[in-house]
Amino acid sequence: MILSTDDAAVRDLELSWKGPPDSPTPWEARYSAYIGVLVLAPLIGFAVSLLLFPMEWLPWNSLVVIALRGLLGFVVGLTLAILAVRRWGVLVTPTRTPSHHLAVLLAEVFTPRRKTTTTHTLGRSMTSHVCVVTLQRGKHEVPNPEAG
Amino acid sequence: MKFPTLRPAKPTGTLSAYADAGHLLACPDGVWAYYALAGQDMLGRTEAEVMTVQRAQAHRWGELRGHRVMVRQTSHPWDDHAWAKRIDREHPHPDEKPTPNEVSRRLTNKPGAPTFKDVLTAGQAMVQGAKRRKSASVLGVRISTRRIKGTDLDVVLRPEPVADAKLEAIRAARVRIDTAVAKPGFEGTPLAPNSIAWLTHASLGMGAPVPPILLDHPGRKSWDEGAIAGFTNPVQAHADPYSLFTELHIARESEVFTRHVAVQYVERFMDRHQLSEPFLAWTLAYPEPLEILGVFDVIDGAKLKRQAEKARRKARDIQDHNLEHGDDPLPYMARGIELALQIEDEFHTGDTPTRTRLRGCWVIAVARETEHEARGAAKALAVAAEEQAGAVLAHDFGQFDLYRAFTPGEPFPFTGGYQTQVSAKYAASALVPNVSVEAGDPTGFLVGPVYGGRDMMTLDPFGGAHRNLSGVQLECGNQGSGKSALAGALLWWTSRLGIRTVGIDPSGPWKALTALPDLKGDAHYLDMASAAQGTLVPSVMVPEPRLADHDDDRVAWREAVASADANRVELMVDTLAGLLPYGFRQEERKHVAVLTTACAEVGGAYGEDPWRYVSAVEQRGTLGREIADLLRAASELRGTLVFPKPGTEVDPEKARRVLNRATLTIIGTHGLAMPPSNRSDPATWTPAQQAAPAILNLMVNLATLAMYSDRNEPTHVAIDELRQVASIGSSLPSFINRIVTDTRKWRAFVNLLFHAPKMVTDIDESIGNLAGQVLIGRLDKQDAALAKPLLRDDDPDSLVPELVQDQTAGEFVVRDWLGRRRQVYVDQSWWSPELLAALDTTPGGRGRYDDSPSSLFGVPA
Repeated sequence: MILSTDDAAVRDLELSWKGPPDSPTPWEARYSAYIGVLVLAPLIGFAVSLLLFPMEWLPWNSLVVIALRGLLGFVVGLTLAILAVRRWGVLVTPTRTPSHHLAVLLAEVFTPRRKTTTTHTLGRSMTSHVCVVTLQRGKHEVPNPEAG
Repeated sequence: MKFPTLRPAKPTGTLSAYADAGHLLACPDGVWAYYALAGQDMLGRTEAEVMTVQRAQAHRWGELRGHRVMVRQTSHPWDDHAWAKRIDREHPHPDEKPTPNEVSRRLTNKPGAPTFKDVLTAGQAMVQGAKRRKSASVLGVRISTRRIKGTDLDVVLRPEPVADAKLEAIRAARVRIDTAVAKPGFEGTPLAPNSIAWLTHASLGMGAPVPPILLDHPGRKSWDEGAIAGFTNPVQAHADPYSLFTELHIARESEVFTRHVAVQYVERFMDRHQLSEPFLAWTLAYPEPLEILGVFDVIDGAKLKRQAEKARRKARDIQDHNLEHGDDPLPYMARGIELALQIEDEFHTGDTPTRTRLRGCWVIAVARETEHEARGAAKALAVAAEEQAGAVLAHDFGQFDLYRAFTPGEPFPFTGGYQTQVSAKYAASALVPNVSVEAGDPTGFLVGPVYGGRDMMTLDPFGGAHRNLSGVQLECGNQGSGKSALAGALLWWTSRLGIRTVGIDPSGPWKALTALPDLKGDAHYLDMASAAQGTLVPSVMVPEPRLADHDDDRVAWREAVASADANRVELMVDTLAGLLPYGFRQEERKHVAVLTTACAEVGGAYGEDPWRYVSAVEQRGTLGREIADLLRAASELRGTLVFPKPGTEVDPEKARRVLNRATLTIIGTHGLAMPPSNRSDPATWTPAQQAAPAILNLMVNLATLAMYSDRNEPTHVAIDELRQVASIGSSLPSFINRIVTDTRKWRAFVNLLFHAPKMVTDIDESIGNLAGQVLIGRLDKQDAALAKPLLRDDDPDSLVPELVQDQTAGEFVVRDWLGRRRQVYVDQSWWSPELLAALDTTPGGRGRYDDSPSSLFGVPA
């Protein structure tokens, strides 16, 4: 009898969208990719539109400048978002979910580094007798291993 | 999608667990209970037995529904030091103060010969060189998610109900889990605090040894928060940003170990046959030490119905979407739908084990001295796991948190990724947490590595007697299989320990043992050809039962006396019949009836003169007189060992004096004619050869006389070439039955060697059940199938016959005293050169023929 895990059904199937049935898109992307673009594009677009502030000095109507900055921001933002998702979206898989990437980022931020001091020094344990120590308030009691 | 919570880094000097009592740990996420699981023998069992264990385990998982569980598989170096210390303690030097009620028997060291310390050191060196390891499986169950005070753990451990409602709920859960884990399948016992401490040290200082001095004092039952420093002080751990390794500096006694730990997720478990080798059995046999951790929630499938429905709908959506666009759905979509339907069905209609799901993560860690080595080890492991074990590994970031998770009480860093969900049935097949390849005894002679793992087999010759089982061991194998060498080494071993040892050796390889320098003066060789007349009088070969040996039970004693008398009559009949010419026996079939009636008339009293039986036979008419004349003739030729000089009294203690002369007695037959091994028809033998089986039968009984000297003194008897006596009549089955019973009562180990299973099954069909331990070496195809009954293997599809045929010299399939079936290799590398030379029966010497590729082209290697 062949046994399987549930993962093929529960985890590994990814929803993707090819567009409406009567007018399919020339690409196929996962729903998570669409979500990624929808999240990234406005952020990048907003940042790009801010960077285009020198356009304020153009001798054009301010509304036109705003619209132009918005349009450029949208186009550049969307393009960069799509490129970013295409480049890094492969890192998001059924096993390496977005929450996993975020958790790893946080874990790496808080991981002890080479120079992090510990609560107790390593040197204290560099003796010939290392044993469990009971620490009591105000005094240290070191059991004698020879006492049995 | 789960989002992780922000939290500060855990200083490496702290542990999440803040108190321990008994097998319980108090942690911020609740109360955990830890259990040591009894080793499950999955490798040497029949299909039906494996499925029984799987069913039991699936039910055990079902009983743990609603709990978070941790499975931890680890290993530690095979403790060669403890082995040597125990042998030295149990068999002290004669000059040392003996233990109470025990006389030290160990032989003194001889000048110029290896000392006993040399022997133990050689054994330790072999174990260390072979890098043997002992595996251990621990199960942790979170019995409650409630955080309690450390002092309340003792309350939770109480057997009787407690007043506090919250603590009572936890106590009741603890009792329920203890009961569930103890049932068949797991057979778990609460883990001792010392063992939890060991595991904590071994996990924090992964890859470094855990000296005993680190462990808590034996008298202490629990440790509290103040003891944390003892675990964390010696270890400093850190990782570089987005590094795939955690670097450890571990102080152990006066040495600092540097280790780089690489932890890999099990990304995927592949489809598998229900009876294929468990994944956790493959990790046992992996050449390098691995640390395995699985942390998962055990969930009732009824709570996952929505998940199953969602999965089914998703799979259907994907398939329909492809169809809408005129694309062919890929096969994996159909498989996903089918699997989702099956899962949904199980959740709705299945029994508890079918519905139960284990959802969580599995990780494997390797620890090496340098990062480069760790990287190579991790890659090699990933390749091997996918190729051999059906598991796809992934080496990802977040290594520090993963490394910490191996420590008892530390939370696992669930991120939403790498989570796998398996049914209890799949877990029982692939993720048997307590697979074990243990074989043999806790102490004894070092045999060698056990196949299928990294363990070492030790053989205690008195393992049967200690367990109140038959002390009979059967060794079977073709010539060159190594059975005589192993048996000879066991003879040497028990002799060194000062145990009375007797070996019957018709073909001669054990004679050289008596010349070993470390047995000088304590061993002697007795050649039957030059033994005194009347050494093998049949009526003294079966000892007289003593009332004291039957605990003063007169009824049992009288029965034993009657049985012994009957055995002596049988033995006398077989002996006298065997001394008659073969041609006479074939032509005149009534000789057995004449002998039987005559011997029965004389009776089977201990020490009866054989000449009385001859006189009784002579009274049985013409045939009787003819038989008596032939026996008198035989008494002058091949029967001198059987008949004392006429008119002299039978000396019942003569045989015992022969055996008591030295610690090791090898009885050989160099001067006697033995039946040829290439001709089985007695009609083709010489008259002297035709009488040999009768003499050998008496020698076998003589050897076992050593058992009956002192009930409290252990004895080792080995009998080689059992086929030579197999043609004897009814006395041999009686002998076999007698020693099976008596080895239990008399602390004896009787080792019977023979070439083919048929030789022994012809004596007694049920001998497989009578023997306590069986070793099967290499056999030919026609004999291999007959090995199964000896191994108590009744599986018609068993692979034992093929396994036995393919074995090389030194490999044995073993059924040990506890009934576990394993394959082992007898490692002779720790035997002294003198012992190796004494037991080498290869013509031309050891290692004469070199089949290595370097010598294939005629060029010397």
